[in-house]
Amino acid sequence: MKRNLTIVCALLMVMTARAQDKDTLEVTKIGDKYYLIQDHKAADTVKYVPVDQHRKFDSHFMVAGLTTIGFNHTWTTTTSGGVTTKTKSNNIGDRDNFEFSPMLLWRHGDKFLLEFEPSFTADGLGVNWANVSYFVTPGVILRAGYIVLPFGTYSKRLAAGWINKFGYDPVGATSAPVGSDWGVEVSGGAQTGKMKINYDISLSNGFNLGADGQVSNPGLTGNNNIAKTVCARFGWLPMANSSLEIGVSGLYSRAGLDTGASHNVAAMMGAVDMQYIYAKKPIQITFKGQYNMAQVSNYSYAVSGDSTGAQYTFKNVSYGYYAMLSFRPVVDNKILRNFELGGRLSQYHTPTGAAWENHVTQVDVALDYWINWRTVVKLCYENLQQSNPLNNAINLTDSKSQSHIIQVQFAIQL
Amino acid sequence: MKKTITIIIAIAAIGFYFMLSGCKVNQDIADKSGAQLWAENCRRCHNAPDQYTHNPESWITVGLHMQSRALLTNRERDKIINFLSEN
Repeated sequence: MKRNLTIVCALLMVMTARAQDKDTLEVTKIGDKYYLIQDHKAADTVKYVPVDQHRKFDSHFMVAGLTTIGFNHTWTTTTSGGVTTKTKSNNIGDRDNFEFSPMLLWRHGDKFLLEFEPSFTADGLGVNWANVSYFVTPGVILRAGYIVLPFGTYSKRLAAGWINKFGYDPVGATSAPVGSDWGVEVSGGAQTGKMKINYDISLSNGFNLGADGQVSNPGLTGNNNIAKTVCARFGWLPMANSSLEIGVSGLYSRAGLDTGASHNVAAMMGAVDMQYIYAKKPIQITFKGQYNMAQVSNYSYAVSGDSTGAQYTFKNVSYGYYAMLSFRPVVDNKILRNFELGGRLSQYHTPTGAAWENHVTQVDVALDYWINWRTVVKLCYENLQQSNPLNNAINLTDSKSQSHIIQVQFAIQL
Repeated sequence: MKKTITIIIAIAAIGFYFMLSGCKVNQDIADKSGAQLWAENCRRCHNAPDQYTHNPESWITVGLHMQSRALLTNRERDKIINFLSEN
């Protein structure tokens, strides 16, 4: 273990030191709109002109946003209590394949920004975020309202349909009960030598503890305690061209009721995320990944449907991850350069012995065609396996399912 | 024992490197063009946007929004906005 750690530290040092010499990119325009990006050492120099010196307006309102629409066909085999059933389904624009989310941006000078993104899906009309940001000083942004909690990077930066290279979200990143909540946040980024660091810290309403031990972020639907959630992420970009980012996140929230035996039950969560982009003719390679875990204090829960008052307990630890890799040609051919091929593995495991024990493995392959930088058509295949083991103590039968999903999805940012 | 010392030295070296590199913004970094920063930072999450997507006024608004998402520095944000507003 120590030997491995030593090797990792040494490699990290070498990689970081070497990165300092590869600090720029060459940007070349090909044709009308396409840019070739590759490493080179000579830095272009332009005079730095702050935006407010040549353009000054007090207020500006605009609408951006995104929409996603898709078709999927699913073959599912389910085995439960020894009985196997096979089903087929196909949908256009179901809950996983349709989203319409206009984003309203309202800027006052260059210090205040109001952001509001409602989202219409098959589940109805929701809100992704609604907040006001105050750009206090370089490196300090204050935000208040309905905010996306800074846990990992997927939910806050990568979940949009036109950014996600696959048809579905990775279960390993989205199953953790984080999401959005009412709160305040302070964040920012800073240049430290040739590297960069960033931070994002939030304080929001507390999580809720369910009757079966699941914690949830009540978000817009109400909160049943006065506890607060502290969440933070710290990011490090060791390479001067920002191609590598490593982040560490943590979250703490008391989840129990304000009175009673569950008062001290708390949720502690942690995550590590990483992304790396290599771009040099003839290919661009993108890696993104995140590992997260959640631990809830030990507590006893009532057996569902039991009239004798029987209780059970379990080690309440959940964990999940995803890792994706994609390849895109960087070539002159106008057709070939718009294709991108990606693969992703994701898993999510809920606590052993819980009534909601579930083990999910998700494998995705996608071939994307980029119509332009923000418009994509995806042809995707997903293999989804789930298992819920037998648990006699709480009267649960075993269940397993496997789904094969073919999906065609169109996503655009507006 | 030797391994422990090696690990401690390695960690201390990384920490020392952080301290040194954190002293001031490197001149090469400060001289980076908006085009370079655009290419380096936008692609961290998505394809780098086309200059013709928005008008200059909208790029300022979008720049603030993206700064709050990608946690860009003010200098990066302003240079990228300038580059995207050139046409």
